[in-house]
Amino acid sequence: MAMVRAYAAEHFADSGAARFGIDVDALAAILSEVIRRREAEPQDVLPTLRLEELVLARACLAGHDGAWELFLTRYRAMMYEAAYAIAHDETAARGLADSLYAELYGVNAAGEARASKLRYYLGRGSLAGWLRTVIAQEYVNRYRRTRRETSLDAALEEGAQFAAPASQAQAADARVEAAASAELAALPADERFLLAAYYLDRRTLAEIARLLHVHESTVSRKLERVTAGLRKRIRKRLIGAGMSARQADEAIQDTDVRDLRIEVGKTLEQDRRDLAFYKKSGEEG
Amino acid sequence: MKQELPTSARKALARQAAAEAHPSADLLSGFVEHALSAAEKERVTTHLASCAECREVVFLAGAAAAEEQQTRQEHPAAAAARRLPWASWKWLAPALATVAIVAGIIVERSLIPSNAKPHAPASTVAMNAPQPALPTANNAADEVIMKRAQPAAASRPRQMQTRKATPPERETQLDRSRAPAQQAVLEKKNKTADAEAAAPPPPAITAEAATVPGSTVKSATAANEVNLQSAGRNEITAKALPSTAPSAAAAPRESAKTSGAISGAFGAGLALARRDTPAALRWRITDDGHLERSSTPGEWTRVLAELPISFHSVAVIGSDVWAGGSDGALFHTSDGGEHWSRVELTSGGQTEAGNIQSIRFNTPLQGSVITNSGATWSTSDGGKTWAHQ
Repeated sequence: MAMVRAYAAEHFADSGAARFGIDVDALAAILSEVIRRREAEPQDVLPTLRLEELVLARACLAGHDGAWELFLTRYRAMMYEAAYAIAHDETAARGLADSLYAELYGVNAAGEARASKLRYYLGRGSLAGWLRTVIAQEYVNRYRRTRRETSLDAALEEGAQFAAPASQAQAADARVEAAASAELAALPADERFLLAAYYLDRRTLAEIARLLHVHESTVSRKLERVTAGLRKRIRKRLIGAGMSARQADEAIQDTDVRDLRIEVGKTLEQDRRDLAFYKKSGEEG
Repeated sequence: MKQELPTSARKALARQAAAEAHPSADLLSGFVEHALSAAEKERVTTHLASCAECREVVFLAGAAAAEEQQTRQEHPAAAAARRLPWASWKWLAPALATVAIVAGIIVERSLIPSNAKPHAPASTVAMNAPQPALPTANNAADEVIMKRAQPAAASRPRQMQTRKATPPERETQLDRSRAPAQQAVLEKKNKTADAEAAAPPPPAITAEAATVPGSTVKSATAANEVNLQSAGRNEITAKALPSTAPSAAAAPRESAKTSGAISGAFGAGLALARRDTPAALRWRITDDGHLERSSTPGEWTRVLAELPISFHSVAVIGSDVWAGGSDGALFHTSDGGEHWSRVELTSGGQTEAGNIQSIRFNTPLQGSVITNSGATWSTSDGGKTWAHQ
């Protein structure tokens, strides 16, 4: 705690805490709580803490008018921009931003104590980045909620396809799937993330590169390497399980008609999803 | 990609399910911004590898950040225009109607032989002057509106022509739109305008409709509006159009509240108002609550600095500027901030003393003010009287 107190005293002026009526002891208490909730050591947390933004968030949480004024000045426009960038729909963006503001302000119907979402900001990244992420979470939640409420007829209309009962041929692939699962599980997390983003989410190389802050060619090379290595190891595992080399090669081919059907279905579904958002925007235009 | 992931591996990848709860937004935003410790990054990446929802969140948040940054760098004006895009929609219908009517008048008057129209020199002088109340051809707000006007395909080409007309073209169009009988009245009005221009500036404004100093342009424009059959419509076109977009010369966003005459989400205040004020004035409120104006990019002058008021919101509608702040302080100017009048928010013996957080004017007459206590004050007469809600 002495370290935290010393850090609070040293950075008190820079933190802007004074203008919100937060003294050194209160600042140290905030830091201690953040360190505890982040389940980390002070020396790991403090050097990278976004102190000024954390103080602003805590002052808003405490209901300080000046803090709210500053918060609105800095982040109001940004929140809408982020919501629009995420939803690509004006009505949805306004809904997202407005609902987030209400949650940040934390006023409930009964006018009781505030339960602002700002208490979850722990100063890892920027406050603006945290707000963007919260908006994205809310957007995904709403979108998934909408999708779950889609009726079976609507799903069929959208081109959803449902799996047929497992055939003997599928049962025979159990060894392949077991090998694939085992080799995937052995991959480092970042490589599995890369594969999932590219092959499951159909993110482009550019999107992945932007998120990982690397060049597109770096992502491409890594994907190539990881995919080739995975194929090789699955093949080796299948041969080890008793398959011939030819059987193993056939097992990891991607020409199965059933898979094609599944892929077509997924593609259609993705297209419909995009179309739905496009229509939504268009209707209001 | 030369290599394809085996279908079996793809299925296995899809079958993976996150065993733990979703990481907090703090962790996910830290991941997006590369601000996590090695242990935190490993934990989040492991989760992301098996959680499609959180992957979508980080990609969305990352893309939003990149888009904001890119827009800000490349198209600061567009970013500001998009900040409050919905504000333009409510005026789309009247704007389109106005443009269509004006276009119709232009076409109709263009059929009248030019020698049938007396041309008053005074009118030309007045029309050559800047016209703050007329639609700004280069205004990004107009661009936004026109892009959204595509459903009205039949009238769109004419609207585009009218809206994008250069000032001299507008002058010609307006001249053509005047009936000969109206020209006589116009001459009289323009003479009045000239007389006003020659006269010394009047005293500071104390009433909303008072004449402003240097009002040659305003008076001439007003004369035109009076004498056109579409006088009211011109007024609407100019002043009721959403003021969400900056002028073409809008500078990159600075660390100040930014918005137009109509405040954005959250019912809060706004600041950088950039259109249709005399001499293309721009307005902002600084982080420390000072109201500032600028007529030259990068040069800001504090306004009402002598008052012990922390400003929170400024709104511009046409040539009117409203600024509000602490302790219910609300100020209004019609001359670009040369003269201000304090407006009391009072109704039925009740006077507002809270901090004004948001000012919103849809027309020069109709607007509302929201305070930090949640009270809403509205006016329909340009601020002469207010109703408390």
